[in-house]
Amino acid sequence: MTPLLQVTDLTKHFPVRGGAPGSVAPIFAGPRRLARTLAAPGKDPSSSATRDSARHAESTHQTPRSDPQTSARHPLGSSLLRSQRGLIKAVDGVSFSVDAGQTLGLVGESGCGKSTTGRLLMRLLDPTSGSIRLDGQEIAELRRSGLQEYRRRVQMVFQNPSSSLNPRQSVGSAIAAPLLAQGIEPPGGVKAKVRDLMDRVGLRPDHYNRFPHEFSGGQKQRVGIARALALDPHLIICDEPVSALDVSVQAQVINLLQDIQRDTGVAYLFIAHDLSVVKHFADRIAVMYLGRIMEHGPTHEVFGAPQHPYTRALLSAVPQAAPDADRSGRIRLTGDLPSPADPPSGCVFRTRCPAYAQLGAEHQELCRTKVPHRAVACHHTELVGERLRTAVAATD
Amino acid sequence: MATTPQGSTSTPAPMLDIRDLRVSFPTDDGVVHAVNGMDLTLARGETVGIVGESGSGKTVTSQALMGLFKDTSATVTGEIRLDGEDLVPLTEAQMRAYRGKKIAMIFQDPLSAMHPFYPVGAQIAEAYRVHNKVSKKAAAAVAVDMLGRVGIPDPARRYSSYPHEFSGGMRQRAMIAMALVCEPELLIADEPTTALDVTVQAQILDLLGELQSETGASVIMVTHDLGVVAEVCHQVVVMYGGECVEQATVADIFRDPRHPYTQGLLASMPSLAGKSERLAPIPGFPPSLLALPDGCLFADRCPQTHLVPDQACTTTRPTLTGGAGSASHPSRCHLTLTEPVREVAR
Repeated sequence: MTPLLQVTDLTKHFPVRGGAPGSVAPIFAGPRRLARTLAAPGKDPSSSATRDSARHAESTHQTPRSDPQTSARHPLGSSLLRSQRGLIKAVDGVSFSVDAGQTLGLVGESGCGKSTTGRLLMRLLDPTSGSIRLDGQEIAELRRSGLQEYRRRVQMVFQNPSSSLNPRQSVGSAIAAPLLAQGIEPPGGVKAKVRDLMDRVGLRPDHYNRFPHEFSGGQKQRVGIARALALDPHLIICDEPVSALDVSVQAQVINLLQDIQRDTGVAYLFIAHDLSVVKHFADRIAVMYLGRIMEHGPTHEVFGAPQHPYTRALLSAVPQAAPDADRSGRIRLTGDLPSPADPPSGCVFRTRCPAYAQLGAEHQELCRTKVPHRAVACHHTELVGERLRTAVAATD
Repeated sequence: MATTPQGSTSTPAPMLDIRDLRVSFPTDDGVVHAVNGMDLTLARGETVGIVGESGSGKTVTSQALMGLFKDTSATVTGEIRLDGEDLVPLTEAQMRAYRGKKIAMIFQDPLSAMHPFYPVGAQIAEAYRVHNKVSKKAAAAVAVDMLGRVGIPDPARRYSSYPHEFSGGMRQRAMIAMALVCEPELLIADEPTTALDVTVQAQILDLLGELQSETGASVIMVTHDLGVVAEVCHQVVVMYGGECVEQATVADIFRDPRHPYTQGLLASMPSLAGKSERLAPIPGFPPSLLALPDGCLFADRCPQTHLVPDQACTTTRPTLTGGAGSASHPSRCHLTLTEPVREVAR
């Protein structure tokens, strides 16, 4: 059976452009650079740009380089005032699939690329490379009518219900907007369909002509969900749909999303940073770190027996709402997330990996030099378990 | 790792004693009653968690403790006794002697709590010089030392960095350094880790625990996350509609939640440990602080009102009862007055 959504080697690199303090020199060098830009549009490796990138490199300790192949694929020209200084590898070779009627949870810390992945799937961004297939159809090839049809089948619920609703649009007309945009006339008319949707998400019919500011956060998120449901999509991308809500309201929205899935068979890509919510909600889980998927599998496996040291650390960092819980053997990560503009070579997690220091020289060599292309993106899953125990014992 | 907050020992005279604290603000729409009778006691070296949802009054309570409503249109009544002295009647000028020195605060968003145009170290040194007559140089040395203690690498160099040059976790570390530089006896942490990722949150909570055991400060941890409470607190105060609805030790609040709101809060949380059952959300929404009902503030969302005779829930505001002497910890509910009825409710 082909999955509903198949994502293969999805990659999105953003150019880092100039504009940092101290880069006024190119402006004054303008006339010269302008002449050169005009002479050779699209590439402008001017001396000042090189100098700038060298200075930038100094401030970030390391040279923001990209492998020649990537650069070749993305000839990003520099303009008169801005020059390219590197690439942010927001999503770097991500593969996963979502089956019809299932939920995939995409978890990770801020900056790991989970939201970018969601935006790529919506085609709000175009991928640098890789493939996204919905029912076998490659979405990068879609144009106009094909894309419109795709957007009918894939909808999105955003994190912040206040900013994703137009403050001057009544909620009834916000929910009707997708139907009008697609030119769909449901049997019984648009208004009846909207009232039906409002009823399904727990809004009262008299809310139809009200405006977003009259609603609480939880109600606004219900409006967002009704709007996403208007076109009977096959897949809804939920980007942190409950993280702006209070606990008691969060539970209402989670239950609502689950009821909708049970009734309509819609599939969710559930992007969240709250592991407890994802564990509760998702059938499968993909854990992202610095643009890559570290571990991917059924929820009970990933949470029950995490293999990757990052998954283990992430799980043990979650505060447990149980005072009697066993808190020994916790893994604490040190330091901050490395910059995605300059990720570590080889395994991106190695700089914070609690087991790395415990590995032998040749094992470390492998971590430094090779990207682990495995289901669990770690070269040493077998070794890591026991090394982690040593590391934890040392710190306790 | 934070010291496990269980089995608090016998309570000496409380360092902080809040009695019937009320805070209200006049607005164009009427008077907003943000805090409506808050009681709290805190012993030296202990950590109390104030839990509640947005609008429950937990942040306003902590701001009132800092005396941030002096010279404003807000009305603050009740008692806030710090080592026996009432802070409520103090003027802004008198409060300054306490603020930073005896009570310090860590804010949720350090980027907006710090001045963007001054180096981080200079801001810490300034906080020190307000209360200590030392040279700028000496204060700078103290600030560098403090940055080192909160785990910022290369503190001498980072002294001259600006807030925007720090990562979120480092900024919160610097914020903690600023709050602790005068060695306050009471530290108020208002959602200190809410803006942080979970791995960084774990680091910051550990750090707070370590520094607390070094300095012996008492901590008020304001949070919406019961997980954080279970990790770091000894005592918990649950707030709803500006009232303290339940106060207990951490062990008791999870084992034997008394107030229906606390029970609802626990049931609506997805857990990482347990199996995934359907969540039990609390229906409805919190009350408007502009027009509070006469009865229990939680009555219209409470599943147990039918167990209370004479519709007392909608007519009479319950008081915080139980605690000292009785078998149970204090809770603001008519049901807890009648033990057998509570058993039926389960």
